[in-house]
Amino acid sequence: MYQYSRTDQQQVDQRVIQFRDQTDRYLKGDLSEEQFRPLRLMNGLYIQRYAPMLRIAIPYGELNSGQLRMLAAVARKYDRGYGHITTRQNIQFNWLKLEQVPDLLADLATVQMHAIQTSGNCIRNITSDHLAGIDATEVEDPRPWCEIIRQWATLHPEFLYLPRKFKIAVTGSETDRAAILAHDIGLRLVRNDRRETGFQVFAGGGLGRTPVVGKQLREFLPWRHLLSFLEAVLRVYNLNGRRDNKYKARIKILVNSMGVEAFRSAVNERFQEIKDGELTLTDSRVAEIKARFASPQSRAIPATRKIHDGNSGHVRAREFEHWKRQNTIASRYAGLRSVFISLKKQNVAPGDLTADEMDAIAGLADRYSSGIIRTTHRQNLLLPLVHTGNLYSLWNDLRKSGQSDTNIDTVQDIICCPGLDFCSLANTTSIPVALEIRARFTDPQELKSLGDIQIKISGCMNACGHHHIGHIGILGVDKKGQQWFQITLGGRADQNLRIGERLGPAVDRNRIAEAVERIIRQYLKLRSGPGETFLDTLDRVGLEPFREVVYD
Amino acid sequence: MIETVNWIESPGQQKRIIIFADHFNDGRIFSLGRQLRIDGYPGDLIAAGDFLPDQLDSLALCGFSHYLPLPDGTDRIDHIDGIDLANLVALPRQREPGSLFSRHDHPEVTT
Repeated sequence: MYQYSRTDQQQVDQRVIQFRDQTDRYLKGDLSEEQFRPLRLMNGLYIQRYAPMLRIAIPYGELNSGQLRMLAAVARKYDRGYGHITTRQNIQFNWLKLEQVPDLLADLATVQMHAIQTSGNCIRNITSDHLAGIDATEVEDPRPWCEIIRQWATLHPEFLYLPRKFKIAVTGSETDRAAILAHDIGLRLVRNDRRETGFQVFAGGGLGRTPVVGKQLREFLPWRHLLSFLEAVLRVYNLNGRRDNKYKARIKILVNSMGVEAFRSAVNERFQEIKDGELTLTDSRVAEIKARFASPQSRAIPATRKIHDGNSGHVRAREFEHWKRQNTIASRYAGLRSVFISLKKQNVAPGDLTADEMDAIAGLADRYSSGIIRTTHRQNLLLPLVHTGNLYSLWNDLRKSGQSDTNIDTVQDIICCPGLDFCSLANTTSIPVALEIRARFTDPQELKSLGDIQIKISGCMNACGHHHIGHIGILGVDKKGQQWFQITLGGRADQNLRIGERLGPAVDRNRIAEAVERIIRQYLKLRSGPGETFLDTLDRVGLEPFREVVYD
Repeated sequence: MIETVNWIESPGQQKRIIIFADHFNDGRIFSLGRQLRIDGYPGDLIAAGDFLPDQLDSLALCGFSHYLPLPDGTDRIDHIDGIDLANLVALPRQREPGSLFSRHDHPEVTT
């Protein structure tokens, strides 16, 4: 995990002082609401339906046990005892008091955390693959590159007042778990014919009201020019992006209106002006950043217990094997596996966890994974490297604390926005819909048989629940004060990212969970065999057989 | 709205450029300033508008040499003639836009 430099710490400390001053000026009336708005937003503070909401950055989804304990303390001291992991790997607290936020940020700064640029029209927290540095197939660990981009983007004086928010995601693997094609800029680490490292660069992807798949700007960008090229893209966007209509202000609209060729040409013109300038990365600079990431393998904790203890019964062993198959994954290091901790519990909003759970997981991270925890795009947690000899002991500990839900990459692993329960923009609820769907699929054997059917739910057109790229996407819409839900099928968030197709008219609130169940049961009837996935079946038979069961 | 005015008070005097921004939230001004410096413009560069004190550092880092505070609704034309730089807010001269990354020359791990 990245270790802060003195400069990093100073900047976070100074930001706390600055935000305290800004908040004081607002509360005294020296700053208007309009003036304070961009200042608080670029520090992650929203005014939500019931109270201010603060989004705290977890850069590229990695945090240590001390930071998780601090988040637990924040949840107890300033909020209502729980937090919410977002689809961009951050954490949100929903019940804060504005006047307490500077103190909260000061507490966070003591553990190298902050809320800088987690909202607002600026470059947001950089996201990445939750298996970064672990996946055996990746070209290179993307985390140091994420950190380099983070340092460049943090309080960048030119790009704090962009036309709209700007999201960057990086992956080092061919298997895209960071949805890079749904980002304003998506970066994939690649090697060229001469085995040199560089980036495949995509731009203009995004979800929201107008879902667009990112377009390739560069097939191979040498790593030395990463920041210069990003700066060129941002400059073209900042100067030319629309500012008259917030729904037309994202870079995807600019790329589409200019045409990708013209956009690429404009970027290249700016790039040539600054290429080989002060933003050019050097071997030594990159080596410095990489050196701040401790080798994950060297820190893995060796096994201390046998895989099965003497008292484990047959049923229990079977449960453990099921959990191990479903919730753990092999790493690039022999004898070490990555362990998912599901945040998809019955009757709990997807991504929510309590302060007590945070403390418990921090303890498990210390005991089993060198104190490191990751947050995932699908709103779960991950202990990156656990010795296989410790898995049984870890599973037992998770069972005792009620955190062994065996539903990773199943139909229960639903992504969902906060919806009307918290968000002032939402048209409909989304959390209760997720809970109702989940309650219809609880049999472990059935979950296993269904495979990874990704359901994603958004309570409004802003698409925070990524419904466009769900295998089954659900969008809440308001019709004359009533909640209705549009269904899309066939979206996907991976390297073959595509936007789902609308199934038909919206269904009403009382029927949405049933409609989803019917779609899934129809898949079971239609599939050619257990090996054919939901998407494969859909691609083979088309939408019609699913329409028939929803609109009978 | 953003408007750029090239401004020469008298023959032989170095050109000055003033950029008006209608709204403090219009971030184009930062890229315009930066682009002028990249293009090699060496002279005075004035940001005019109703900016927040919190934004002056960024203006300086993007190459602006002075700030002319203009409350919303002020007629811009009235302010071009007879501007005395001595009456403007002088911004500290910056070498380059200072992202955190470019300030990491001598990193030390905190302990």
